[in-house]
Amino acid sequence: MHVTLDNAFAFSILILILITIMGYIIPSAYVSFTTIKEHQLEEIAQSIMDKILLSPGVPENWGDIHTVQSEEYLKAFGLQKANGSLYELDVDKILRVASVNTTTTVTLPSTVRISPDTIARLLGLSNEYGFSIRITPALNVSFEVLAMHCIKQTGHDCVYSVPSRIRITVKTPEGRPAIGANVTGLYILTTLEDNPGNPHDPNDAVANFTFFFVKDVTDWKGEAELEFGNPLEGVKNENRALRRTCTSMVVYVDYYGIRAVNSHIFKDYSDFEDFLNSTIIDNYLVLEFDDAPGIPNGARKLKHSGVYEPEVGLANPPYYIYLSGLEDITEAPPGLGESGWIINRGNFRIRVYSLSNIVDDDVVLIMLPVSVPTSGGGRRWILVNFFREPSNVICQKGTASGNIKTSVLKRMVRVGSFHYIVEVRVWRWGER
Amino acid sequence: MPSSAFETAILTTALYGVMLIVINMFSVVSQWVFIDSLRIRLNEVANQVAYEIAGIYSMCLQSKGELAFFKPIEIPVSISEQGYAIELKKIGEVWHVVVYMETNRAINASSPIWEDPGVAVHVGPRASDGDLFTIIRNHGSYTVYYVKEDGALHSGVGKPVVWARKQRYGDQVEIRVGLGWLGG
Repeated sequence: MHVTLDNAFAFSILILILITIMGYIIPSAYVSFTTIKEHQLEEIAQSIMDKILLSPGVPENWGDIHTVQSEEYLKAFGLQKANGSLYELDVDKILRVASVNTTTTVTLPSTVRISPDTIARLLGLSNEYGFSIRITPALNVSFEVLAMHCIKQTGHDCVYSVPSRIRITVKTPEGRPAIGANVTGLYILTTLEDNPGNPHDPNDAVANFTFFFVKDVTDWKGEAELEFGNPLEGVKNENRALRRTCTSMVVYVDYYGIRAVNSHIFKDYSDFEDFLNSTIIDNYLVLEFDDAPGIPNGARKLKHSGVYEPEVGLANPPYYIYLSGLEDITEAPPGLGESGWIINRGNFRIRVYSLSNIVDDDVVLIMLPVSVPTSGGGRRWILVNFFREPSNVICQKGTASGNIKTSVLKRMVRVGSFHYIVEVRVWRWGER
Repeated sequence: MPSSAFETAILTTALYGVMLIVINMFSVVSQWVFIDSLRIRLNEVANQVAYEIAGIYSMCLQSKGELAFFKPIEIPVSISEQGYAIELKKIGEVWHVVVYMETNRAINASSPIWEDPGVAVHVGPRASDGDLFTIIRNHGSYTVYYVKEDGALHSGVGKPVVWARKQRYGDQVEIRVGLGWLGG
């Protein structure tokens, strides 16, 4: 009987050894392997970042939709501006890769967008890796309205008032106050006024863009207060026949050589009935109607009485905006198209307008007032905004959810005259 | 007790059998762990070479004129006392750096470079490029030997490099990148 006990004891020891090996030695070896693999992900991320930021792709000027009309013609991927300097990116390429709608950036229609899948394929990442590219201004700028100014008065009653003192807060990407930063605020007052040629028609109006700038330096909290009371008093003295007003601001910040820009529409202080964000590529304004919830698909008239041509305002910080005419170039089959001056869904989901003036590299915000007829015979006025600056551009393939390990790299780049932070995040699918 | 002797023989044999299985299992598991550790180290080399190639290509792109240059790569002479080889290989449409053990090609790792664009940038030398190119500088000259198409860079080689050349062929400007070693 004791022989059985001896053997049973020996078996137990062997099983114990087996469990020790399986339960301790192997996991401890693989923990270090996982750590090394995570470290290796950094090299992949670095390599991807170099390819994205230091090569223009093939063809080099693929941001031009005439050169590369759709993603199938793109042979290699890179965001560098063709013939640009190191870490200088092309704004049109950035706009073409945006794959997520944010508060400011609207993605282009899928026909001209370069999808994350195509980018992954061209970078050789296939299905093994996921990635995201995020582009944000190099400095965080926020806006706060401190005071209003009346620009139209009837008797003692103020009919139209607009923001006049605005606090600008500037922070570094790490969240620290940017002390001593030079701030230039470009104030843009978009107004709809009586059409001089047809002043009594409530459905007719002309758009005006009035702008002025003020400079200041941020204090120890990274704050600067910009006062626009004086120029607004000038607007008041002009005694315009106002119908709608909207204030927009483009802030340019120079913080020891880091130049950042940010735009803001003060929607809460506007008389426009609605706002619509849309997108731009090259000098084409693109409106995609599926992306406009709550806005009727009815005609949006740009030309009201034949007296004037529609114009858009292009904000070119730090000092001015300029105007451009526009032309509907949506290809409409004969008999099916609407008038060239109507933004109308009609049979088409996408409307494209060509700007007659060249869009400067530094143009960050484009504003276009339009009107929508209501069922009662009146009109609703809508301000269409095109945020061209990469204020929050995201391109991502998949999502790194859960405990998946990611490698994140950041780099400051230049787009036009302004600096931005590019964040590249890479992860390996199935690695936890 | 005759049954006791029989029982002893059976149980002792079984014990040796289990011991053998445990030892074999240990050996197999150790082998797995060892191969995985080799793969990870090969992957490290593959990633490093892919990164250097992406870097040298980016540098080449910034140049306006024709250019030929190289960058030494610091890779281990051996991995676990064994030699390995590095190849630039097109898998599907994507160029990869593939690193494998000389003794067993099944133990390998790869890192992607990019999808072959077919124009503007190519991997490896032209067939007409010969075996080497020479770069002359003020302080001396360097001879870079190409790793040809279907060739491999072996870990024992003295001065491994990645190289890039930007050359004009008629109206076309072409960039070529590849592996090689420094002669002399």
